[in-house]
Order: sequence, then C-alpha cells, then structure tokens
Amino acid sequence: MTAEDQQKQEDALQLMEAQLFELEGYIKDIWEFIPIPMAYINPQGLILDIDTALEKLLGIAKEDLVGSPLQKHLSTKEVFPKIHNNTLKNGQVSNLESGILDGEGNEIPVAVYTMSRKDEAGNHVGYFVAFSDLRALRSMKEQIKEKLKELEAFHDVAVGRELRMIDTEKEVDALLTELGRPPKYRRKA
Amino acid sequence: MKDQALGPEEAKKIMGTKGQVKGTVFQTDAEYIKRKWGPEGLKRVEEKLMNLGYPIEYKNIKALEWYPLGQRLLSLLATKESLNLTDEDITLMGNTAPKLSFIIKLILKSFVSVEVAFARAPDMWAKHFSVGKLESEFHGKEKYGWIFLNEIELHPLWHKYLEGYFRRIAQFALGEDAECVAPDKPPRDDKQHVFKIIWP
Repeated sequence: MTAEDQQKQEDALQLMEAQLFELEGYIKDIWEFIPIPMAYINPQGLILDIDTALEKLLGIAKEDLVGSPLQKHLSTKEVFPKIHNNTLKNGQVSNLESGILDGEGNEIPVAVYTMSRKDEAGNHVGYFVAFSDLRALRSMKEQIKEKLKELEAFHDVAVGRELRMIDTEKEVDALLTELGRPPKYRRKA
Repeated sequence: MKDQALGPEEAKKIMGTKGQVKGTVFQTDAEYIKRKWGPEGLKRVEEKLMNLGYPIEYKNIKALEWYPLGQRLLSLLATKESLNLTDEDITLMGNTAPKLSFIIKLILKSFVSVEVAFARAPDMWAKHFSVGKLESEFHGKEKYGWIFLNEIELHPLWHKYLEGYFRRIAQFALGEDAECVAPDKPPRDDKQHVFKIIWP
C-alpha cells in the first residue's frame, strides 16, 4: 500500500469515527427526549442501555441499572422467560402485562413491548424493551367503575321514586273513583 | 497504595508519560463525576488540575482527538485527591465507565459471548490508546481469561481503574458476576501488566 493510500484510509477512518460520534449525539438526544421508558437488552439478558424516561419511572440511576439483569427488575421472575425467550424466538413481544420494581421496591404495572435486533449473519444481538405505565389507565378504569356505581345507585333511587309516585297516583285515582269523581291521573290499576 | 499529595513536580513527571489517549475517555470521566458528585464535583477536579498547571476543561474535550496520556493519568489522580476517593473507589469508577460509554456499548452489542469479548479486547484498546498492546487468552473450560497489557508504563492508580474496567466488560458478556483477581502469573517484564478475569 502506498503512503497516499494509507493516508486515504486513515482519512476515511477518521471520517467514519466522526460520523459515529455524531450518531452517538443523535441517539443520546433521542434517548433523553423519548417519553416512553425503554432499555436495550443483550442476549444474556443484561441491560446495556436505558433512556431518561426509564430512569425517571424507576427512580434508579442509569449506572445502577446498566449492567444489571432485566429479570432483577421485574416483579415476578416467571415473566422474564416469556419476555426474553419469546423475543428471541418470535422477534417481538407485544402488550404483555407485567410489573416492574422501582427503586423502593414498589411494583409498577406495565405493558411490555419488545423488538429484537439481528446482525448481518442473522444472529440475535439483543432487543429493545419498552414499558407502558398502566397506572394512569388502571386509575381511570377505577374511577369509571366508581362513577358507574354511583350512577347505578342514583338510577335505583330515581326509578324507585318514580315507581312509588306511580303507585301513589293509582291509589289517588282509585280513591277518587270510590268517591264517584273522575280519576285525576288516569293510571291503569 | 500510599497516598501522596499530588504536587506540580509529580504532575510534570506524569505529563512526561509517553502515549496518547482519545478524548472520549475524559468525557466518560466527567460524566461519572457529574453523576456522582454533581457539577461541583467536576469543578473541584478542574480546579485541582488548574493548580497543578495542567488544566482540563472537560466540556471542551473532543471525543475523537488525541490527548497526552499523562493528562489522562492526571485526570484520575486529581479526581482521587479532590474528591477524597480510595483506590477501591477508582476501581469502581473503572467498573462504571463502560456503562456510560456509547462506543463501548456499541461494541458490546456484538459481544454475544465472553469468548468474543476476549477476542475483541485488543481492538478496543487500540481504538482508545496510542501506546501499549493488549493481548488476551481465553480459557473457557477453566472459566478464566488473561489480559496482557504490553509495552506500556502503567501508573498504579490506572491499574486499579483498569481492574474495574476489564471486569465490567467481562460482566457484560457473561451475564454473571465476573471478577478481576490478582494474577498468579508474573509479568514477563516491567512493561507488561497482567489481569486475570475469572467467573463462576
């Protein structure tokens, strides 16, 4: 290889490195911005990277999450094989309900979504996992349930009152008829 | 290791260390310090370096540029002194560094096994340092591996840092708890440094 070729190669390598670091900045910005708690898991089930949203959701620092097994942070150990093995086998998992533990050990109900990644040779090199926080949805469901109960109770009261009114009107009409006077409400007995 | 206050004379001697390092190493140092001690912690380190006569403005470091290896050593020494760290804290700093480095994680994404990790380690070293050659030996059945850093002067504190660093690389690949233990193989000369990684 001539000195010129070598220089060209070094320049190309430098350019690639520069682009790589630019890409790093781009990815870092995305992972800071995206509001969905996410992580990247390697084939051994270890967390390799997380976004800011997951850090905030769990209240655990990035450096304490990265390098730890994903299984450690799930509220039931049995769900990890479902997530990990199904992702490696089928390429993804969608809307799998589970629980994830925050920094104080409290369980956060989540729906889990994954997408696997493969290298050029088709080997699994890891997967993205996203967690949809179900607390707001469940809280809303609870609130709707409560409201429905209140409406049902009100309905029962209202209908009961209406029925009592109808009975009262019938009684009045019956009494009027006994007195030889025309019925007032014309309710059928 | 006996702690001696880092003074200008010692700093000048350290700056004479041969070799260069990529700026990304300083960025990782800075991110670690900020995450643990906040911007005030980083400021203390910068002030220490300024007082030694070899200032580093971490926010202006360019990831791809080459910087004197001596400055990297001063960064570690100033961090230890200004934040009152122990050698074990420096090992922990090394152990955390791969978690914070994008380039390392990008490389690690393709580490599908510890054997691959050992095979790729020499490339990783060469990407970051202009001196020293890293060789590795993998003994899967016996559950250990060697890392040999050759042709390089290695400050004892940097050795501590690298113990943690290599351990973390192995941990990422193994999925289990790997250890970096005292090697039972002596170095072949004073410019070789030996690390032994074991796993259960």
